[in-house]
Amino acid sequence: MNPEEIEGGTALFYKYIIQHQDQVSKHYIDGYYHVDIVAEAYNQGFKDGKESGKKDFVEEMRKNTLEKFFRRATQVYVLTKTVVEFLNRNKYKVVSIYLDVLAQCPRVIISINDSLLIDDEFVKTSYTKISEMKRIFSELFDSNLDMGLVSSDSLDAGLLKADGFGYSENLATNEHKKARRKK
Amino acid sequence: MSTRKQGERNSKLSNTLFTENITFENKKFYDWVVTISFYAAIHYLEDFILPKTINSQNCINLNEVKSAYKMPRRHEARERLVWDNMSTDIAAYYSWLDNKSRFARYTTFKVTITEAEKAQDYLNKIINACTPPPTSKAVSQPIT
Repeated sequence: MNPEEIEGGTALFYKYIIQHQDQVSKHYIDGYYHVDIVAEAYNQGFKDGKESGKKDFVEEMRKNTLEKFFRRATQVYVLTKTVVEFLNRNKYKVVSIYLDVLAQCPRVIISINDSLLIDDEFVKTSYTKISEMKRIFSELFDSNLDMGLVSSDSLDAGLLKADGFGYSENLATNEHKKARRKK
Repeated sequence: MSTRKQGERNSKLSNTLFTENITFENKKFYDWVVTISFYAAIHYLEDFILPKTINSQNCINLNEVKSAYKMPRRHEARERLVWDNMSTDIAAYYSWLDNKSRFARYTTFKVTITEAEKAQDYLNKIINACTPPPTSKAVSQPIT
């Protein structure tokens, strides 16, 4: 059994974002560079005391975009895992996570057993933590993170994927695998 | 119609769908109970919190809140407004209603009676939090 498959999160997530980096650069190359990236690349060209050719300029923008994408995507993953670990420490089990890191405002859906979602204590504890994570994200990136909870019962994973939640982890399965490996 | 009145209107509709025997193919509209509760909550909360000064900007409506927070979407701006100005319990109930209504499509709109009941409960708690207690009137003393 591949150990990455079990402990997998971080390794699998990096694999996913590396596989999708072209999608990000293409999207931005098509003329949707964020104004900050353009300004940064342009100013850098003048600071270096040389005429930035179009090729250098675009390449610089591409590099900056990818770097920002990796930083942002990693932060989304870290914040999601922080919520998962926080809930686990409070004896609340997360079933799976779904991430859309390619969107301008990244989105995360955390699936939880039905019975927990009608437990007032859980609702207060979990949403307070989620709100804290969203605030951290917006302070770091001048962008918003949409993070929420959904019931794992009758969850349509195919629809989530079609809606852009391209990365997912089934944490319940990972728990089983970890337990089996310990035996 | 005032924002609070819209909240009352939505709240009444949500409650009617929950309590009355209104069905389609023998199924009650529990998904709509949740969604309409959420829309009722929005109006009560906006009416209660606004106007508000945010980042030195006087905000009287959600568009101004969005601009003061520098947030691109109304949904996020409203949620931040609620978390910044209400107790964590009330803000959590609001986020629950938001997620339940927005993500219902991912669970094929399957909403149980217990969840619909919870939506009503959370909406009532939000309404209470947005309803200031009546000002106590001075009791007139009899002239002796």
